[in-house]
Amino acid sequence: MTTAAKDAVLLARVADGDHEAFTEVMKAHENRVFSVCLRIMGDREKALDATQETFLTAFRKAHQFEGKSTFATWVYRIAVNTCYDQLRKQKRHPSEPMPEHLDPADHRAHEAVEAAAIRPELQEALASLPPEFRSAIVLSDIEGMSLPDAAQTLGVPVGTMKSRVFRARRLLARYLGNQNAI
Amino acid sequence: MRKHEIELITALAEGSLEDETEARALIESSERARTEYEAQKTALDALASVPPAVLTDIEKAALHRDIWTELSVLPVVAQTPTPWYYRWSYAAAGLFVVIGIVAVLNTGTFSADDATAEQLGSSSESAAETTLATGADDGGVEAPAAVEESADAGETGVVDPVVGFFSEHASQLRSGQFSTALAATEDDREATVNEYSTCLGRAGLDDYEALGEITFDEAETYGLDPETPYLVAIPTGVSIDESTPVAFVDLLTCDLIHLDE
Repeated sequence: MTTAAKDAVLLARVADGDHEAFTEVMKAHENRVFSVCLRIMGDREKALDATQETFLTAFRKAHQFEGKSTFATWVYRIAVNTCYDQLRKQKRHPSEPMPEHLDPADHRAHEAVEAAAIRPELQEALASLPPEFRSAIVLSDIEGMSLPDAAQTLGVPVGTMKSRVFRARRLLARYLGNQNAI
Repeated sequence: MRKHEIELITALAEGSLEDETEARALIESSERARTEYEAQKTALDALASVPPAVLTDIEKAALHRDIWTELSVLPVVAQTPTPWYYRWSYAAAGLFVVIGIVAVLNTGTFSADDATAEQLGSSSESAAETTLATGADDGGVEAPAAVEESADAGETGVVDPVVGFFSEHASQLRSGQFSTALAATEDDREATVNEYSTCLGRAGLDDYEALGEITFDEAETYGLDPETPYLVAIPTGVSIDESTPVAFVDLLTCDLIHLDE
């Protein structure tokens, strides 16, 4: 059975209320989905919200998963679109940044936050990129996806993906103060 | 710079070339190539420092709990297949509409010269974002590097197809046919404005302002890459009319591809 077929079977079991199947799907994809959301949103709380929303959407629309791509590609596309939606909402209704809500009992939360932190100027540089450029560079250069996989995730041709990655890096370098950057 | 050169520079920066000779020679011989390479390298080096992000055990537990709770309250409902007559009813309705339009057209209400029908046909193609082909991926036709100014077809009677392609789109821009496809969104306006002005400067168009970027799907028929984005620009402070010069700049290479005057 192909990976896509196995994913479709798992999703069907989740739709039937199979908690074991649900846990299996979450374990396989939650970290990577969270990582994508964190690098696009730039904020851990917002990334957690986006991750939750991503999986809710994926499970509710499981019947639409046709197995043409892997579940991973399909769910990462949902993650990127969820982040785009939340970024648009943020733009329309800017709010004060919430203080990091770290559960006092979660002693590892602080360690996790620090471990995942990137230097402020890079964070700002990423945040300055248009969303479609930011997602291209997150998938390709941070998550290490191949260009074809990243292109499929974003639903664009490979050539468009190459173009976005090239221009995104150029913009990023410029922001980071490369004196010779374009 | 040509698309092949950009791909060489990118591959060199990524460290994915088996033989770096050609790429190294390029950046040593061209300041522009070296600048692009350094920009790619700077970005890649910075991004290589980004650590992986993982959920803590408590975050995972909370995530599972919240999602499962939501799913349990509003369980996922498998899509029930729609009855066959639902699906065919839409197709039948569409067929009747088409038959009706054909019947009306055949009654001679609209003449063959009617511009309306032609506009309907052409505007649906040009208003959408389309892609431009260079064909360089397969080593074929390279991206046009030379500036092509609008040719006076009256002298030779022959217009280069690529020039004609861009001239046609310049005319469509002047008549407002794809202005909406060019509009940059508010979300990315600042970053893209900076990118555009830099690119215009490199193309020698410091006194031009960018209207936006576009790709042309049908460009492949002209031997151009359908995925190359083009910056469309006009002289700063000038309103668009029939005589407005229109420039098309390759956004990857910042080469002026066509200036339609």
